[in-house]
Amino acid sequence: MQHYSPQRSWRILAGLIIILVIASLYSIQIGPSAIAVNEILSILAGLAGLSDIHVIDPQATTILVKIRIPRLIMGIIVGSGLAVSGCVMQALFRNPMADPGLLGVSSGAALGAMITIVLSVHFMHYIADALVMHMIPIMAFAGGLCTLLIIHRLSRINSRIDIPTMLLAGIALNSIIGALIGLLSYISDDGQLRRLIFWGLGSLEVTNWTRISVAAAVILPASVVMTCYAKHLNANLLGENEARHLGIDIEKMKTMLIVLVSLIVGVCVALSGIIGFVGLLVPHLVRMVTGPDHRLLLPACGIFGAVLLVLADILARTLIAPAQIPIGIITAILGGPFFLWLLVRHRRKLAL
Amino acid sequence: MYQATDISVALNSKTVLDNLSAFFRSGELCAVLGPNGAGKTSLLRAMIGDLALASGTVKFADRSLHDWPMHDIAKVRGVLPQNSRLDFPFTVRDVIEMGRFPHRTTREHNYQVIMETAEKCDCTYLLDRNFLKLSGGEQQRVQVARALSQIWEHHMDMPGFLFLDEPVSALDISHQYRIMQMLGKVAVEKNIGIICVLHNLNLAAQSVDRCLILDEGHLVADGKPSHVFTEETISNVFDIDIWIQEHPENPNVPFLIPKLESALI
Repeated sequence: MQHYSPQRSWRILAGLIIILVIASLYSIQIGPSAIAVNEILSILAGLAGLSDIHVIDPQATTILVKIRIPRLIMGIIVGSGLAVSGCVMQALFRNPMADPGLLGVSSGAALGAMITIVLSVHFMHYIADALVMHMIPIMAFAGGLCTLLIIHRLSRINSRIDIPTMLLAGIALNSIIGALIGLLSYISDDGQLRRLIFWGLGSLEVTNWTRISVAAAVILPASVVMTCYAKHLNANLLGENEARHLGIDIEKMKTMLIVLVSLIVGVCVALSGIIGFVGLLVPHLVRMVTGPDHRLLLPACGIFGAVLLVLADILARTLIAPAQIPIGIITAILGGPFFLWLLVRHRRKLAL
Repeated sequence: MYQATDISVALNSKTVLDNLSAFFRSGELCAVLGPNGAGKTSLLRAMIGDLALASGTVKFADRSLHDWPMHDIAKVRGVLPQNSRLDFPFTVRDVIEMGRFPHRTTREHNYQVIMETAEKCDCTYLLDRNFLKLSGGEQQRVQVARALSQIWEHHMDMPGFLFLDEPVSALDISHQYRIMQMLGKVAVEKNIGIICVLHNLNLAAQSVDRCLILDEGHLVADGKPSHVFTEETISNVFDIDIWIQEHPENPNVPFLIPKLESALI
């Protein structure tokens, strides 16, 4: 067993960053027209003003700047956002089964986004112009927040989170939301239906720099604030009363973190639809290496979540090339069996 | 000084503490005793502010509990609730270190405190182990060490207080006695007040400075074990007839032996 130590943390984080850089380079290198790594590096150097950009193939530059790099950055942002919020949810719920997808937070956020897509014509003129273009993320945030609050209220019995209740409440909420989503698809027109299906499957495909900057502006600060709560989360794992007697304002911390998780999940879902299991898979895999201390676990999850989604996106783009598989399908195929394995492993403790 | 004055507490509209007054001093190891449902845990939880009072006040260092900010009181008061559990694989050292959370002390300093409290609780050989792989008794000793490390030093010259709800319930007989003897010594050496809910009357008689005996939400006896352990009090409160003898080593320590036929149902 390894204790937490700053030196060890820096080594692990540095290692993860190197893995992320390699995965990223590989990801933007492959595709219908392969771009060699040295060419990528010289294009990047050119963009940074370090060398003359005109000597480089303009077509490759366009592909990189307009398509592959935005998609890569989106994968990195969404991957770390989902992984960090999954990790924080597991700490808040004090059990390793919590995940924004399983508990319906992602579908709640998707429902909010879908309501905006399908029904916005009916209420858009009541909303200030400045907000209209951000309505989808805002509604996704609201949907995620409501679901998370309901789950937390339902699964808390005598100041303890009851795992079976939590999972069952997640199933119930997921199916209620599924029904509402079904209803929305039923009344939507063809164009809207296509967009709805896109939310359900998850995709990094439609990306542009504005949306990426909005996402980064929300998710990065939110993740940093969450990381500041690392020691609080450690103490929270002892139990709510125990943490309070260590001097933590539990209610304030929970409110803060629940809002931040909903914000991150909402923005991720608004950007890329439902990409499931990242929040479950990543903290587990990372914990095996780092141990449960959130001072290391949270930043490590942030980086490894990015790695996982970059790798999943590579699979999504290459498995049936030239066609693409929605990335949500890839993460579900990887994550579903993992969740089953977790259930089998914890079966005795759960006593469902 | 930690003082409860005329406190009443109701849980699910049943009165669990009825107009009870009690105080705890620093430098003293105190046991809270009584049969199941007598209100021991409720008294402890009322004292630390976990239960809402129907009436009465609890004061710590002449300040009402409400006037204590959470992060301040955590520097001078540690709490170990009953059945504390943890489902994540921290090392024992990391678990004990959580007790240092309220203090802004250096890692080196915390390391020193951890070594000292771990040694007191016979956990030194466990420090590098996974907390989840320990037996129930070992986990309980680690939790006691965590609570101790929270109030190991006086903060702003204020004596600390430690509230432990059944801290030895999972320990073997030797560790029960060693932990209680240790707590008694630490209370004196560090001038802190330690309050334990206990079930084992003989263990209490042989290790604590003072016993509070509760029955149906009332305080029925308060004093040295040799004063409060009378055949009458014990048989009334616990509904069992006993003999009280002197401990062979020390005539001031009472020794309780239940009468066989009185335990028959």
